[in-house]
Amino acid sequence: MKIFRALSFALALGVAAPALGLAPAIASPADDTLTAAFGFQLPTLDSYYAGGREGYLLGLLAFDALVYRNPNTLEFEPLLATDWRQIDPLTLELDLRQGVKFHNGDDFTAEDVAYTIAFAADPENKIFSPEKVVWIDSVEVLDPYKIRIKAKQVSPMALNYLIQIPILPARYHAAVGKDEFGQKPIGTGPYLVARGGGNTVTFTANKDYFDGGAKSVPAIGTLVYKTVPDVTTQVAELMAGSVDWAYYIPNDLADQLRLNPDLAVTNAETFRVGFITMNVGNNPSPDSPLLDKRVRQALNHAIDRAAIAKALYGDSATVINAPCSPFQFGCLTDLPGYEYDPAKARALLAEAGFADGFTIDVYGYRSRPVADAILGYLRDVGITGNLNWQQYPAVVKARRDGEASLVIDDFGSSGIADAGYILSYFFAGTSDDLVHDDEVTALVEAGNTSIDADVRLEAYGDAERRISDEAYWVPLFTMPINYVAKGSLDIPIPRDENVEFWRAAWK
Amino acid sequence: MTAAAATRHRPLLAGLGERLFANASMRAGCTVILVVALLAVFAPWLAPYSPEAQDLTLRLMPPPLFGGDWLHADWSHPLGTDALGRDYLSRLLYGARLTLLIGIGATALSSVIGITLGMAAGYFGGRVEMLIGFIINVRLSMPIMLIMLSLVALLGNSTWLIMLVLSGFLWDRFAVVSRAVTMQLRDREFVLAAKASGCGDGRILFGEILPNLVRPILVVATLEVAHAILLESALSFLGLGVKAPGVSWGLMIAEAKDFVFFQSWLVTIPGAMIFLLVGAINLYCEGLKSGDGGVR
Amino acid sequence: MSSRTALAGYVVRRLGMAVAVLFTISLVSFFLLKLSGDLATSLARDSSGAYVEFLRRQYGLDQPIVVQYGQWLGRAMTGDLGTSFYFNEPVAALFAARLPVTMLLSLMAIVLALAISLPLGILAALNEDRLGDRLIQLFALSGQAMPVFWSSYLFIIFFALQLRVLPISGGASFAGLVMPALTLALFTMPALLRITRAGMSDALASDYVRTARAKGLRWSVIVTRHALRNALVPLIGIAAVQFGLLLGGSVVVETIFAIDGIGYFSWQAISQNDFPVVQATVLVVSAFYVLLTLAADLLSAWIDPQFKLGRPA
Repeated sequence: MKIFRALSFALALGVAAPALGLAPAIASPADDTLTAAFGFQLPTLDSYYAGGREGYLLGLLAFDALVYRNPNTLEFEPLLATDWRQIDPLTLELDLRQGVKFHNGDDFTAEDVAYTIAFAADPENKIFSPEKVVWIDSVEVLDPYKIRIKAKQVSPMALNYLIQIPILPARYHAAVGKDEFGQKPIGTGPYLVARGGGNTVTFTANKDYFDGGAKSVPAIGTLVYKTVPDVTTQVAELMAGSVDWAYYIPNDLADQLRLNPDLAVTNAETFRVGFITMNVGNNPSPDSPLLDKRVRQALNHAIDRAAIAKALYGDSATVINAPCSPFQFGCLTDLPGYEYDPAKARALLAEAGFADGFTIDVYGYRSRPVADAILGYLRDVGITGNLNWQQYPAVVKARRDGEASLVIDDFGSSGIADAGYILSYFFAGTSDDLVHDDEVTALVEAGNTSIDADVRLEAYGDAERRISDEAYWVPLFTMPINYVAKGSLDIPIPRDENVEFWRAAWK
Repeated sequence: MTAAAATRHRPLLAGLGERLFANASMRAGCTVILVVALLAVFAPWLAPYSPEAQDLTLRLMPPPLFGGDWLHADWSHPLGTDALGRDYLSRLLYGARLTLLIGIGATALSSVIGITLGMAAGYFGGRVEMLIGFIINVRLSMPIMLIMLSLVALLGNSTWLIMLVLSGFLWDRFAVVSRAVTMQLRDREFVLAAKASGCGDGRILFGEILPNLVRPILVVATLEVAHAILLESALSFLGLGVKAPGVSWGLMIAEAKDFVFFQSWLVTIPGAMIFLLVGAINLYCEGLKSGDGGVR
Repeated sequence: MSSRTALAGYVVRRLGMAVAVLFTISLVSFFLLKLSGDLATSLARDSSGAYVEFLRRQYGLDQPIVVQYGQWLGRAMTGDLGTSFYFNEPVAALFAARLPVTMLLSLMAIVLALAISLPLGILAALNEDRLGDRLIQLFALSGQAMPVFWSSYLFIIFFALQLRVLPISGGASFAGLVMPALTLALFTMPALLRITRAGMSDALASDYVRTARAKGLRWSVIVTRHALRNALVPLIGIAAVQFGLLLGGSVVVETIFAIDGIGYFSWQAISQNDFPVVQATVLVVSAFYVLLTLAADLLSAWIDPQFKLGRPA
């Protein structure tokens, strides 16, 4: 019995240890270094091969694009291009800024723009997201500081793509090749890459960064990009003071960190929206319940989206009724939507012949609590969800193969403030289109091939209305994220997740 | 002759109770295991709520015992609620089921694989043994965690698949132990006598040798049950464990990972249960080993 | 037959086995990842059918499977482990950059585990079935019964947030490796402790130790020279096995402590469906394991003159 006593003592110790309470974090002195934690590694320092948000961020830090989008107003502003105009529906003419130098001293000219676009558009080069250049037909250099970009077809989202195309130094890039460029990147951006690779990348301020554009010389001399894959560890680092800034902190943790006087927590909107896709038109099994509109409406009525949003994403999360982000151009914000009404959901199911409910395959990859909550609501109306928790590529494959009846998904539109992007991705007859509704496809196409804002608004609006009427999706909510920073750090919060570290300063 | 006869005539189940509770370690271990097993079996009657019933307005309620004034506390959820407002006690009780099922199921499956291979290798020797030795070597050389993760990531995470994958990797010790024991036994007089009287290989393997394997196999089995439970919890941590609405203790810890700093009971309660169960199994195993005639 | 020829024969057989095992593992790892389905489509994500075709050609995915295997093995033999889809860099280089930190971590963990389990194992054997022995076994139990991620967080709370003596993450500094190594050591220690205890207690009960005692040799000499040497033989084997497990099994610890080693690297690859990386990791980690156990077996054969030849690894 001695063993038993010792065992219970050891257990008591284990129970007590986490309950002892945590010492408050001490803010470290501002040593002209900002350490930011990210969940993902930069696979390379060449932003054309670094996918995801972090790769995009790299493009903003070390590079500049022709055009800048203000992360607060979402307006386009001059950067490497000082002015631009549409010459004809297919051609965009841009004036380039003079006197800009790359980190290695090379002058920035039109040749660099032409080289960059040619490089990115070459399929042999296999850049990570080719869609940002595939719309370009040709680039014409008129003089060293004036170019014309000719599109293959009318491209209303051209500027949205241009902000994603960081300009490469033609001479240096051609000389070293893309592999070495990924180790020692050169751009015009506000930061230089000092040391890179693996879990820690160090950036230093570019003191010679040009004036007059929308970006500026960084106030803090050094920026450390630190990869911390586990979010719990990130929180520990924030509390210990060894990390100054992190984002995508889950809401429950953020709520606790709010109590910490040394940390500032901000819950802010993004373009990311959550939704459930339903296989209606991608070779579904002929007896799939989802083929019945009433079942799809029942699903919409069954889930208390507001409760999930509030509990798991915080107070800034809002329920959406259209299949897009309310911050995107062309996204309806006044669609009536389906209110939470489990009784109505059960009635609709009974009407459709599923009074006893049914079992269905559900796929998910991102937030397990959200998935569990959704399954819980579906169970309440008699629908048993069989959850397949897989990695994103596997889920996409299952959906494209028509195996995934329901997918709990979300989409950030690559930060593009235009509903055309998300609608084209999911409703324009591509492999991710599970509906194949000709009317919707035609409407989206009409919006995509006009540069007349009113025509586009109407086309997208009609598409969204039809998607909602037919209940092709269960739109869920916007997905705001939590930014956590040291209280002594002054750093603006963007609306599009693209944090402008060069504007950060110690108070 | 007497020793051989004694071994031969030890029936499979006679005196099992005596052998299973021979010393204090075994009794202590067994008590805990039995209690957990009873909780698992009677979970539907013991649990105050359904383990799936969620209420997002009642999320993250601390257990009354953590709240200080426990006399006046709200005892409607004795162990609090989780991030979706599900009753933690009910989840813990139901969680015992899948935890034990995966632990025991994976071990049972792997013991079948391991014993079959091990007995064949030990009994037939020669090329058969070389081949099986080779298979064991291959299995041991594979990075179990990586392959398990790849398999579950690729094929999806059903409870059966997790059990299958686990058992595909946990059979090696069974094989090694049963091979060693079979080798010792194959030239013993009672086996030779059975051979002489015309018994087939199958009859000898299952009738004569298998009964003598029970005890050493039990030692391995207890270890592997613990191993399987811990591996399942690691899978759950990486998001590839048991799937909803199923619940296991490993999954509960994994779900509560974000709360380890501020709502620590969510981790501590299932963690302590795994600790207690695995500890008890180990304790039992130690007792079994230190008993007489055990094969280390 | 002289023991020298017997040993030589054993070495040859053991080497042959190692090669055969490696070959089989290469087959398994190749076909395991072929299970992941059509890579070109998962890679292309939102690109056209033509792009998918292009990728298929680019990565040789349009060849018959046997040809694909042959090509892959041929390249792997020359150190070319393919190109990572995600990093767009040679896998061998990515691997080489991450192996040292995992090796160091595993080594620290094994050394730490041995430093804990050797003295404790000996102590337990010397006090067999007394209170000291029981307490030591209970300690071993705690290592075995705690999920690794839980103990990791408890260490973070204790060492980094309360005592503030250790950094939380990063394999860049030696101090950053202490907590992860400790976590892994706690996980590895029970097996080593048990083996040490069992080996020691066998040795202490053996005839030659009794004879040595009868001859009046000092107790400390008997324990360290005679009994320990005997206990060491199985310990080497188990330590090698555990080291091999650590190399491939530190996924959780490397993820929590943000260590850019091969455990986290391969987990990331599995998440990204980065086929060549997973393949290469399985192959290289297995190769390490095969070499380690080979070395351990040969070492054991050398230490122990009565080594039973043909013993399983």
